[in-house]
Amino acid sequence: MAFAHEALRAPGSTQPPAWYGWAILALGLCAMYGPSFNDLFHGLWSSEAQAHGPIVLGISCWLIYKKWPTMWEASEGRPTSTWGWPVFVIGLLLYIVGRSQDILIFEIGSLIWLLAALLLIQRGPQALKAQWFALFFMIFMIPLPGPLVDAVTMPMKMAVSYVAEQVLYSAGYPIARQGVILMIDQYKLLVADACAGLHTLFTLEAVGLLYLNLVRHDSLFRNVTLAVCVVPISFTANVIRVMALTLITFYFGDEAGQGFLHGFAGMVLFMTALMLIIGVDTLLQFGLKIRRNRQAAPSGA
Amino acid sequence: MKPTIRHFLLFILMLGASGLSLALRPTHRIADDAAPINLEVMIPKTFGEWQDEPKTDIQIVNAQEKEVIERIYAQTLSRTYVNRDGYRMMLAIAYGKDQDDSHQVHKPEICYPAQGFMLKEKHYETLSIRGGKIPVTRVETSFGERNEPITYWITVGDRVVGPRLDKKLVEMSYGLRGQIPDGLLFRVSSIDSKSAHAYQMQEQFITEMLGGIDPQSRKKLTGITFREQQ
Repeated sequence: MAFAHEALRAPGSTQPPAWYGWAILALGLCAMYGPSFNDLFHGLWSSEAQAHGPIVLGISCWLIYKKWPTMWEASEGRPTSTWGWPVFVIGLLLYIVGRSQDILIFEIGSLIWLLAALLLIQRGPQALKAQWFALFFMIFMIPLPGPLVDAVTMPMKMAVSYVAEQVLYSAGYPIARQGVILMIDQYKLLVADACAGLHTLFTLEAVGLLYLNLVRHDSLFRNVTLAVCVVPISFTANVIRVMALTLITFYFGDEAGQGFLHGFAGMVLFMTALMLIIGVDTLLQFGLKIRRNRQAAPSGA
Repeated sequence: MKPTIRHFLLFILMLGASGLSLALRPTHRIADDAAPINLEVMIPKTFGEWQDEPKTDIQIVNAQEKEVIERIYAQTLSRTYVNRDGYRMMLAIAYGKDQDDSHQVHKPEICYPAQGFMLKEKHYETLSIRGGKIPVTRVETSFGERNEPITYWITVGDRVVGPRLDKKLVEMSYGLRGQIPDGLLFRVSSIDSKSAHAYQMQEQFITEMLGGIDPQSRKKLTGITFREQQ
């Protein structure tokens, strides 16, 4: 908590250093979430599909750290809120039920409640307002419940295979499809969970929102449109990945395809998605500019 | 409230939550209460008019790749039985000692499509067997020419979870009593172009199989305590 120390050293203060309190609270959070994250790192987060979890956690911590001075200034001298206490209790209850009964969505989700509560109790609503994005971003590290993932993954895989097949077929490739199995030439490719899962969508949505937050648009329209666009973008990126894999297998054989799958497929997905997001954003920006010019022109005349 | 007291109170509450959740964590595995089950012995190789066919060229659909199966399930059994008329029935049982989030059983409507099968239809039904009823799920799948209707159910502890009873809720009802329930997936399927006929054969197969095993195993497989009838 070195940063808190810096921010808190008010000149001429006679009280015990205020970072002391934050350190105690941090210790309490460690007692609760240390074991949780330890379990996650050794379990779910070590699997490929959930690899975004630790990254999101890291980014959230960094966001909080970056916003800390701003938050401190905004909340200085403002009243704190007693609303923090009920929120705190809700967080604790969620944690107890989630941790003891193995419901990760409660267990990890409760961290957001607790952090919000601590900010409210310690610094008031202004502080919470300053840190809202970091807390919101933490939603993306909550592991999704298995049944939900299963329910969404299958139709998405079907759709991705279908579109990949249609595009390649119309491009003249000898491709056929059986459910989620693509057959090109003599090769058979099974579109796996990782290719089109809810997790990829979730991760890409996180990437998109982070991009939005870092770029800092003032236009609400642009923000919302981009956030919504992430869904079709993620789908398109998945289709491109499956098609790339299919074509590599077709031209260079099975081995090359498998090599691509384990080496680059994930990266290709994210690069494509990021490029699509930036592309859509540039288009939106362009569109807004034209509209603004058009609106400005008559009033100026 | 003075800041020092406030910090202390918050800290104590957080420590309390951490301790309480640790204390409430179920640790008692139901699976360890009874003698370990052995599916290989529990399910007879012959019963009624059905007989185990050790060498078969039919590929039984696996829940997942081999490594996943070993991680999730404590025991699996897959056999193909054949009756006098040459009708083949595939049986797959997967037993797990616990069913937490990372060790969930894989439902056929997930694992069949994952291997390229088409899901054509799904409905719930109740199988009446001697001593009780089993809520089963029926799924019709196909892979090209291979039409494969499935009848399956899932147990948690000694209850069958069906469409009306959520699996997680049953697990929690055990969990809150400090117990970790075991669970199994019981699945039969046959390659048959006439689904109605397939379901009828599967029902007959299940009834005969459950009739041929000891009450304790039947309870483990179906959650039903069978009372011997007069």
